[in-house]
Amino acid sequence: MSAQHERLRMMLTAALFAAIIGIFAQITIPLPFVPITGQTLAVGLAATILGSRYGALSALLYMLVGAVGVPVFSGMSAGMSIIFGPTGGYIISFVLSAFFIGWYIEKTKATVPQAFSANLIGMVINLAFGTVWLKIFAELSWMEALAAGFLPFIIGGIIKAFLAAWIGIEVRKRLASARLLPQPTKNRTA
Amino acid sequence: MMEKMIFGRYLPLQSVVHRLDPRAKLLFIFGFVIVVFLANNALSYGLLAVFTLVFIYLSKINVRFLLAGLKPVIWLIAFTFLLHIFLTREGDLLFEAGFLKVYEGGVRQGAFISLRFLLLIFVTSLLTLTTSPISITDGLESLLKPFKKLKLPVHELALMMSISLRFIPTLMDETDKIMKAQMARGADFSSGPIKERVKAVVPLLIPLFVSAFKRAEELAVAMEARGYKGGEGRTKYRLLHWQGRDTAALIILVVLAALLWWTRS
Repeated sequence: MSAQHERLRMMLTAALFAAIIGIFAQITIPLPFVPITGQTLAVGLAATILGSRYGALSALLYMLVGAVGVPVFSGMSAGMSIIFGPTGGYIISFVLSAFFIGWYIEKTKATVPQAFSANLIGMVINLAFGTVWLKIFAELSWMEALAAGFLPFIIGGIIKAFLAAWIGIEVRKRLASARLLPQPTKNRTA
Repeated sequence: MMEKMIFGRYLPLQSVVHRLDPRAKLLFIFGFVIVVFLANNALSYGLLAVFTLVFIYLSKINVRFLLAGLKPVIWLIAFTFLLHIFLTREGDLLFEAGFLKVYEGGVRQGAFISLRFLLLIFVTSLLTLTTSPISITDGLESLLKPFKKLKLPVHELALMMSISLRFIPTLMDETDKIMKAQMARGADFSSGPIKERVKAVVPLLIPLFVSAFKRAEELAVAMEARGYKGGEGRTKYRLLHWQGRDTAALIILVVLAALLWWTRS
């Protein structure tokens, strides 16, 4: 298979993953106290499965598709108003956290514990960036911003990081055995 | 839900705002997002509000749809407003009840920041309400063309966006199908202990992601069989036309910025 075909195939996969993130953003797994929204889970999964480059691409595509008006953000919302709004930092930093998660997993042996720590740090990046954005946009103090934008999401975030690591590594194994993921861990040539 | 996903929030009407080139609208919005931050007193905020109202009137969009766009952020606006009212200690004391003290500066600050949010949301919502997702994508691609020199794959990015768009309903169907298939096998997504519920999601996600890989492979083969080899030399089916009214829209924005600069304190 040529490098060009490989590149096109991975880009298309990232595009489809972006669509999946958009669908999952509408789904909430109803757990007591901490409902798990599918959005961050799907971003973590995309990064764990696709790696840094294409994981970040799928997060970027998700953001752009939402920006042009397809209701893929949580609660069927869409538009530049969400991105340039007070909660836009969370969506923008998905690109960063996806890149980091993918990069971390590429640097390690892609086991579940390693993917879990990658996703945990990714979650912290996401929440931190989102909180700083919220603080600046809403002109809040640091304590207020933390209380509104960081602390309530920690427990759900840990559960999601674990799920993304566990399911993501599982999917990678299946793809590798079906020869759909060409170079299982060192995906540097694409 | 499906229909809403495909067309986004676009409302096909006949108006000046609808007919504007998507590139003009995008530039206008990016400019507006910056210009809004120029306002800092009652006069400049009033000017911005009047300007936004005229814009809404010209678009012929029912205000109901604009208000619907507020839903996801309304609690946040209210929260910010209240924080500013109770925590900013500037100006004269207006009201006091026990430990609660409301100052004039707080009310003013809270009102201005909430108004800024509202205006930003209204104007940016107008873009997606008056322009279809596909034409915004075309506009973005065209505007980002200069970045091609920096090796940013602009054409491919736009193509992947439209593929993503196109496949949302298909993948939604598939998610639904897999969910029902697993429910028929006894999966329970909405009751039982937490651990069981989380476990029930696994057989839903794995086939979905694996099939996305398969579908991408098929798509890549189909595209290459039809001669797709990247953005070089590709022609467009939908063409954009820049017209006088597009230039006029941008001039109006510059005038607004100048007026705000003049009225701000």
